Amino acid sequence: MAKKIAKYFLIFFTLSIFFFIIFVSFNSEFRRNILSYSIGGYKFYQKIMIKNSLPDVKKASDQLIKYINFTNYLSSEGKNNFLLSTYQNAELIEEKISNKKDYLYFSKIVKILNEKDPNLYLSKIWSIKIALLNNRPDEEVKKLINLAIKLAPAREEAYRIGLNYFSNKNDNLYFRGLCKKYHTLNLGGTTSQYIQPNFYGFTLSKFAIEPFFENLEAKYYIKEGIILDELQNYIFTLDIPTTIKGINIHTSFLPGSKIEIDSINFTNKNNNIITLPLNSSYIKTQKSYLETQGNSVSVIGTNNTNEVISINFEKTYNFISKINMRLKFSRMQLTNKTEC
Amino acid sequence: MKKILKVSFIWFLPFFFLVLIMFFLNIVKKDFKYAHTSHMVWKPAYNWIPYFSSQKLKIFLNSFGENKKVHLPQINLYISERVEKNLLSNPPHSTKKWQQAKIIYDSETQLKDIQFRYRGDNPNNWSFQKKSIRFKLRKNGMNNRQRYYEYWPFSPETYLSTKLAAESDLFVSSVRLVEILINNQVNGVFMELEKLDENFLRRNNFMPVNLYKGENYNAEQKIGLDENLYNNPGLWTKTSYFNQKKRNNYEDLQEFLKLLQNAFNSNEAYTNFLSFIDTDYWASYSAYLILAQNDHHTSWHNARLIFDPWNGKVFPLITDPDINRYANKEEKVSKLDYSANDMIKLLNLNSSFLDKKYYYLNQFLKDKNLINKILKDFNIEKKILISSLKRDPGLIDPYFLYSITDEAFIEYIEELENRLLMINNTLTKSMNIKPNLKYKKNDALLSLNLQGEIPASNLKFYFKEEAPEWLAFDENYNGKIDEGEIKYYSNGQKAIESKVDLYSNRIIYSKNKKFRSSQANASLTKFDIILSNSSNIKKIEFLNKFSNNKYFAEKKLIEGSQTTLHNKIIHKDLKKDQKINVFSQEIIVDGTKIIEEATTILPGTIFKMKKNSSLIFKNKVTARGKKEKKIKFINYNPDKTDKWGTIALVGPATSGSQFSNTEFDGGTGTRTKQFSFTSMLSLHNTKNIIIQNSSFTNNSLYDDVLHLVYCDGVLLKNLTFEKAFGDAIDIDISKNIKVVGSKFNNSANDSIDLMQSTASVENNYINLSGDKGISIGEGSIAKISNNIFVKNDLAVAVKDGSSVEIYNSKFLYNNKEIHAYKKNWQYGSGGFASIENSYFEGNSININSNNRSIINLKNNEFNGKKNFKGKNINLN
Repeated sequence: MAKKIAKYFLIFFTLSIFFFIIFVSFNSEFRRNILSYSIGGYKFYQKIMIKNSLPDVKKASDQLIKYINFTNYLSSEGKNNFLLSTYQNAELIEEKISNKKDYLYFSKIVKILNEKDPNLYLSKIWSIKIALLNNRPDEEVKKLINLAIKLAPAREEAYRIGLNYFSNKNDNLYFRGLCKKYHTLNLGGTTSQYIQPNFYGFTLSKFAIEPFFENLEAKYYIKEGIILDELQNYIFTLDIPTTIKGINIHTSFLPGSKIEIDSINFTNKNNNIITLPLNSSYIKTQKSYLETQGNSVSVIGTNNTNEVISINFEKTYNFISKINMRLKFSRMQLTNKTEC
Repeated sequence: MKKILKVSFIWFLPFFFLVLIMFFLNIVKKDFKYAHTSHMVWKPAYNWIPYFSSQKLKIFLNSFGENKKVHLPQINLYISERVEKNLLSNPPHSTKKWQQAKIIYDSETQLKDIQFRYRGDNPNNWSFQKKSIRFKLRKNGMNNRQRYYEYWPFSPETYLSTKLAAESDLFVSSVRLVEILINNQVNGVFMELEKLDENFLRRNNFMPVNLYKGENYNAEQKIGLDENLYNNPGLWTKTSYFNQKKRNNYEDLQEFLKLLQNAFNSNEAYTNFLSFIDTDYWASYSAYLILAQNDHHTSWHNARLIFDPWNGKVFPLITDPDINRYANKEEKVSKLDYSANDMIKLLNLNSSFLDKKYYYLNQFLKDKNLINKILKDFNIEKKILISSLKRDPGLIDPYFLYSITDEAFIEYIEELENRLLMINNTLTKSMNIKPNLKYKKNDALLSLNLQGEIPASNLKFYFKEEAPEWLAFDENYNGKIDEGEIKYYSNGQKAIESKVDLYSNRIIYSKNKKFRSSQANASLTKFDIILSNSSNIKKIEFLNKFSNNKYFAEKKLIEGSQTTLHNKIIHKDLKKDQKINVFSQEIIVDGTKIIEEATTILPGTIFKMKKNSSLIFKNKVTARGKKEKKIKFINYNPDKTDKWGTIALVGPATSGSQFSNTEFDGGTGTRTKQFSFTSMLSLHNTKNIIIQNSSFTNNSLYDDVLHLVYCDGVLLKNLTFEKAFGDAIDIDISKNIKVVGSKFNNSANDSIDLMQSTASVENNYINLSGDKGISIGEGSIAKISNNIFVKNDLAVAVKDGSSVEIYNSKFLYNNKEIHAYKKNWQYGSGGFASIENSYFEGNSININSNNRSIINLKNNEFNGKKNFKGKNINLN
């Protein structure tokens, strides 16, 4: 009896596997989902394993290396489908490193990442840190910093490391050069897997405004060409003269960004210029912070995030055709040195 | 019997089971490699079994068909199984590794060795029967200077869009349809294209300059960075390099992108930005993008930019062009100002640019009728195309990739042709509509309001009573006429005509929070006009200048917004004050000066150039000195220690310039953010220039004394070059150059150096050149007559696909007289020289020919020991 049951079970099991494989082969959607969820599940599992290994950096790094080796075999060497998860896992490990020994152990991962993809920004930052720990010559460190800046001129990580290191070295020329770049280069920001920036990334080169009024169809007027550290007129021409009761300013700025709103003027259809009294307007943000200085208002952002700065007017303005915002965009200092 | 069957079945079943499992696991493996291995690539689910079945069936049926008959030109590739396996062993990386193979190319009979691989990061390129291929010939086995070839599976959209681009005179790869056979088996219809690299630039008469590739898509996507190419120079790579700067130097791109972003908000930056743009070219390019409905050049994908520091311009290079499949109905055809990326968006804000763009679009639609032309040409080759398609085993829908029959594919082609005709009609209609112009009047202020893409042109104002004396456009809306605001006069007539083009504002906005897809939208715009009195308007007539139809503006109480920063009224009759700079006496030049106006330099003018100073003329220069009152460009310091830079003529507006009786002493060259000048006197991108009766001395630091690049029709007559630091005259990618009656003494390198140019060199005296008297290289053609070559290291060198005819010249005591050879592999062959009626004298008369070169000698006299080396030297 037991034999019979075993026999039928075996036949049933074999046939199930067989039909499953046939089904997977014929049903492309099902196959795609199986593969996608399996791979996704495997990535997630690895993430958990690595998280659980921390703060043991060696254990976590070894786990990651195993993951890399397996995925190279499974997929392909170099840039593959698992690169993003490898990169994110490496970030998790790096955040928890607290001593030189661990960092040098972690350098194996950095080396692998650099070989897979020389355009990983954080990997370049880690390479700089490793070079510093290994007491590499200053020229080599500068070269690595410049490579990171070249890849993403507006990201701050390379500047932070460079400024900290070269201030100690009293290399004032390089220090000032880095400062200048940090405060003037605004192209090449960052992006996030989890937050969809309004533009192509979190950047200091563009923003948008949305004049609002009851029942007014939302339109977002885009402005490019932000110049840092200069009070500039940013003039928006509306597509038709409109009645407005407020303006939302939409940004996707980098952390440490500051917007000083000096004044806002309107031009109406009769070519009259009207100045908005900022003091009597109500200004708020979603995630940033404000500072008032005299008649001007500064907004300080601290995160990579989409931000909406709402300016609600005391009264309605009719038939506005142009909005001239006199603004200064700048980056908060990274050090206490005046130029930086 | 039953038992035998039962036993057989039981024994057979496991094997059958095993084979099926392996087959189906193969499908899973195939799908995994297709959709789950490449970085940042998402692929929809794909049904492989029907694809494999239909493909195998087609190959099987083909084996019975007329495979030997040639329809399209054929490319026969011979690839071993091992090579095919290697290429797909570990995709996508293994696909990029060169492998050995052989080829019989087109109508040739010879089997050639090649290196072969697949191309493209998208798995579509190597997952199907027809793979996207790249091969390279050996350096000494190139075809017409082309070493690399690419073969993409035939896509009707890409093919026709490429043809449209070529007809629009834009920089794009050439394309032709071929049939590829692999190991004598038909593999289907492909498009033969060029690889976009330095060699491509040279073939298209560009100097070797930076060619930037912008790809932030699929496997080339960079993790964690701003995705917009035009917002991040770090996302770009180079596929060709400017040979005078380091390979990792990206300064030109960084500066340009910064300027591009600033130009949105600043007039000054926009003007500066425009100096980098050949407006006609970019207008023509934008017009093509609309005509072809090619939205495939986005802010993250398919961007190729040529940065040419020799003419200071940036050019787009078209790659992977498309015809939007979804533009299949009138309402889905994109608007005239559709902008797929930041660059086009910026250009579309400017009324002058729009005017040019629409001019070209109108030309493409009406005068040149490009779409009909390419469809007509395509029709001619369709018959043989269809014959090849019928045996194509790998036909798939170009967008959705499912396997389709040849009949369905042919239907698809027909649908595309109809789609193009619909696009043509829709765009023509759009260009011919009535411009939406309205007017309203209060007292002496008249307001015109324009909406829509099409401009209103050539306005004629009729009045109820007598016309006012004048009217003017109040361009700054301040209610009064300022300097620079142009008046149009009635001149006693009943109406006032103003030859203007009015464009409505293009405003960038988005209706949702996906700002990246914002467009430049044509918006209601008002134009204020001030009248000299408060005459009443009777009617306003205006023109659609593309259809030449006249209309009358409606009176209506609507009001638009004032014009934007970049939207200026185009005054067509405006005669700009032809300001002419005049230089005379002593001029001290400090720093780099760019002179936009036409210039006259009077006889006897002395330019004292301070250290590193330069004069860059962008307009016509007339510098006619006299024998006793020469025009001089000399060092500011009498001791000549501080070297100055360059005197340059740049751009077509300098055409017709003349320098005569001039002296150039102590210059070098210079580099600006936009230009590169490697000589004391630089002629870049100009024509019909005369330089005569002039001398050049004491140049240093930079290679050349006189450098011509992208020139046409230049006469260099009666010049003296003394001790050139490198080359005396360097002529690059120029034609119709004449060097006549000049003296070259003691050049450190070459006296005359030609690269990819045509020139005639007559009656010159060339003496003591450190390297060559005349170097004719890199695809140049020269005629040399009545020259004297004395004691040069090598009198005449001809190389790299160049040819020279020498007549009636004297070669006296040169180390080597004539040498023909191959040096630069990019030009394929060696040199060809024909020497007639010339005289050679020396202790040893050395004439060499090697590396696929030929020297023909006819009716020459040799006074000395003949030392002829190499093959292909033919005497008489």
